[in-house]
Amino acid sequence: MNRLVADAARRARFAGAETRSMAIAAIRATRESVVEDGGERHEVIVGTPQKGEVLDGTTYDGKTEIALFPGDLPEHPDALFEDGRAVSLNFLRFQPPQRLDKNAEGNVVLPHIRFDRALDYLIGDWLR
Amino acid sequence: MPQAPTTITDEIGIALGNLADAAAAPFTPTLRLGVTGLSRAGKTIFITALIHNLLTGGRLPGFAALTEGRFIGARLAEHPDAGIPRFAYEQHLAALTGKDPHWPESTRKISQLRLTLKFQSKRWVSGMFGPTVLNLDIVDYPGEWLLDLPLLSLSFAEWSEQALRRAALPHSKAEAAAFMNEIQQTDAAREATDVDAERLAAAFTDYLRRSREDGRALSTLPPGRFLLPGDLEGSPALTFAPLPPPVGPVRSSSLYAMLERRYEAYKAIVVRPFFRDHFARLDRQVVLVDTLRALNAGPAAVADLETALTDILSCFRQGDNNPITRLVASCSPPPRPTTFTPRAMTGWRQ
Repeated sequence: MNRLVADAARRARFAGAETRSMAIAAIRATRESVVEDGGERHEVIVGTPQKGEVLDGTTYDGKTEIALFPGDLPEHPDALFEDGRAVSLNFLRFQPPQRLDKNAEGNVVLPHIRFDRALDYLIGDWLR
Repeated sequence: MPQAPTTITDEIGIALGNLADAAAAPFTPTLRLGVTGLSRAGKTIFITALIHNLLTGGRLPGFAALTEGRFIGARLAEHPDAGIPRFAYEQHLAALTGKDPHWPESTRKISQLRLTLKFQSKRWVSGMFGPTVLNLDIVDYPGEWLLDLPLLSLSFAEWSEQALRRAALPHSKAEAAAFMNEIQQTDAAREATDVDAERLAAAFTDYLRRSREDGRALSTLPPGRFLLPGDLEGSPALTFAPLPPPVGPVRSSSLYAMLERRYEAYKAIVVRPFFRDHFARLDRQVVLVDTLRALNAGPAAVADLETALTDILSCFRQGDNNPITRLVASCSPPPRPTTFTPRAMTGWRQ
């Protein structure tokens, strides 16, 4: 992401506007879990792929929950920007979380990733 | 002697408090937060989560005002602007948290919602008067509209030159072939007719639509309203196309002059009002980007996204030779752009 906006952000900074890029999920569609297989523990991600998503020849119906081993992005993100070089990435699209926790007041709690920090950056200085 | 319910010091405190309330109410500070992104970047979900988290004090350990116990609460406030649709928060939340949770429908127009936040200020002077109130106006609009802003500083000739150059790029060839063919058969100096204008505009719109639909280009080339015309569909302001300049002087009855007038009308009717009424009034700006989608689609899509982001962020650039940002500077402090990449953690590599 930083690589994507690097050029534009540099110019904006030079001109006096403060910018920041963050990787976030306002609502996290998957959750982390651990599965045991023959005594070995594996960290997995659990979620419900959207209808029509394909993985290893399986097409999902939007109802089935699956556990997957997360992989990594390429070691050198710049590789993604080189034209003509095949980068095989496939990110599944997931349904929103199908079960949600509730807080003490009975309100649904939305799981997220770093959304709190984004919020703090955006409006925190006005709440001092 | 019966005890009074309040002491004299209390009375003074209440009176001062009331005074402060009365004085503060009409002057409640307002923070206008713009949320944008190219289509399907996750604007609706971002805003729904933002509102819900503030209303219910969600799990936000990184949000200092909440963890320090100074954030008292938020409520939905009366809609401040009769001219702008209200963000359908309740509907979107119901989609996400209902019996059969699904992602909310995407929206393709501007909407707005006001929250009133109450908090205890850390500052001594504000803290004296009890809780402080802040209006948070969240403004949601399509990122494609931002790509139109650079048009404000481009003449018809300059824009045409840029647009035709892009259409001639090797990877645009398939999508732009029919349009380029029309251009080649058109003499820009001929007498203007509506038939010609409509034919060129249709071919140009078709090219824009195809370059978007092939999944490679995630952004739209300006003018953004060609693909999202709304109630302007078919109006002259949306019936033009880039043209190479005619040889010799431009007669005002020529096709070139007519399209130039329509291009200027598009700027006056579509771009400038958006800039003046919405963009220039923002204090902060969030730009959402779905990086995973671009990565899935391959390097060409990543490159296209990079160009679009550079164009979008350049709208926020300050500079003496940029009329857009100069206007921003004179209306309000420059919006602080922030880019977020939603859903970045939900995928993995195979």
